Amino acid sequence: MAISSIASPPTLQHQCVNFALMFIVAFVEIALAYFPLFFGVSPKLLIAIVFLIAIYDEEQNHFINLIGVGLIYDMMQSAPLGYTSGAMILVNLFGILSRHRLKNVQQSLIWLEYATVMIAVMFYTWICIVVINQGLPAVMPLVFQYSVTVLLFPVMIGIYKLELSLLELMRRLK
Amino acid sequence: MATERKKGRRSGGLFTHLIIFLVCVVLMLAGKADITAMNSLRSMVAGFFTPLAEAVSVPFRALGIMIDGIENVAQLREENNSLKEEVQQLRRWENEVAVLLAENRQLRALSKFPVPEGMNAVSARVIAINADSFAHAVMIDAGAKAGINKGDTVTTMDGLVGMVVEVGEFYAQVLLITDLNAMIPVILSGTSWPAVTAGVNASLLDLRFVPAQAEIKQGELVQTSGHGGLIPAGLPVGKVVQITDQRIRVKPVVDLQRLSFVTVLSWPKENDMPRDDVSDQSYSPLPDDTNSFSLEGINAFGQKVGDAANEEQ
Repeated sequence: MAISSIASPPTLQHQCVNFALMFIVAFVEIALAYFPLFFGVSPKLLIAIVFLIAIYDEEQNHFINLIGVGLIYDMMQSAPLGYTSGAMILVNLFGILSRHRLKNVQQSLIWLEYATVMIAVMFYTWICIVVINQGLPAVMPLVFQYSVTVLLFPVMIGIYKLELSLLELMRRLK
Repeated sequence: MATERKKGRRSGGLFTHLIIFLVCVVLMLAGKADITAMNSLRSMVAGFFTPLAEAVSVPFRALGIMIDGIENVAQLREENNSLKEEVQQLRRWENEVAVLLAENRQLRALSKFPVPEGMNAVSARVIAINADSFAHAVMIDAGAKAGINKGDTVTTMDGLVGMVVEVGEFYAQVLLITDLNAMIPVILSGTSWPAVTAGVNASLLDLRFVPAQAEIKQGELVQTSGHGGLIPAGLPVGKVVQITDQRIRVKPVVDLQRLSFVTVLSWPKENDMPRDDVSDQSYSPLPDDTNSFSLEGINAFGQKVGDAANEEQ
């Protein structure tokens, strides 16, 4: 899975597949909370998939996708509207900016970059919670949530490859 | 190549990203203003997607139960031995309990134990648990149609779960007591000193605003005080598990990670909060005298003391 330095502009078919993938991942993330281990601290699969799409995908993820899925997720989770979308926009921007730099580098370095992004998102979340709730939340649950997300990098790559296969299949059927 | 680069820049430039990010931040702050239209939209969308969330959660819920089962098998042997010992102990206590129950009935009648009178109870199933660290909340499958209102108290047989913060037609969002925004007026069951439990988005609660002279014991039960009139008095909230100089931590009596069914207690419409007769429904600290561990007017042995004893004479 090679990274090209320039992403082409969005096309409808490709964006629909991206939206469907993010939508499913969002609901899987919500459902993961049924595991006692992940109660209230489900890994941020949605943010992870946005980062992978930003650096690997041949097309940029459209803003409507990011905002739409983010808002639905916030509404389902009683989070302030715009909180997830904001994180997704930032991660997407970060991914696009890193895209050129990550071309032809080892997978472990991409994993490191991914970890850095997750740490940034963790701080963003913490700041949002403090500002919106005007109180200090416990830090350890946040650290656990984002650590698990970082560890799940290979799984997220697998899920993303499935999307690529689906797109390839659609192209052949055309 | 240059055109392609230009197109790429146009559709996903730094400036556009930042503008949209700012829009998201404004949206977040606007949400804090509790705008009715925004709340209705949120309720509508959440209601629309709830069946999908429930369907997706089915395999995960089953897997969660399976994992729980595997963990349980390992603990069963150990538990079995300790349970045998407990059975022996319980048989001895059974007789004592019968005596204490009779005593308790008499004491309740004497002390006008505050029971939430005139409240309606609705049973509901938990259909979605919050996955995010932002809010500790659950979604239940009963809403306005079942008579549930914003602010209603949610309990299980063990004790307090949280409060209803959002109501749709057929669902409601319940803010758990562990959430950062949940602050519950409580009393310490041993001494009736008032305090407030505050969630910190973790499994334990902080006990705050405890009077300096209060003596808190490890394992002491904390229950709702009824102050404010929103939550009825006498509902168990948790037990004190950690006392340090900096903070007192309380473990909720309800296992919030394994909620399946809850009871929603709501005031009838005509009795809508805030209630005038709150003072009758809530606890007050006991006087600091030699009988400090007894109910007002009655000592630990059920004998009348102070004014109550004088009146009798």
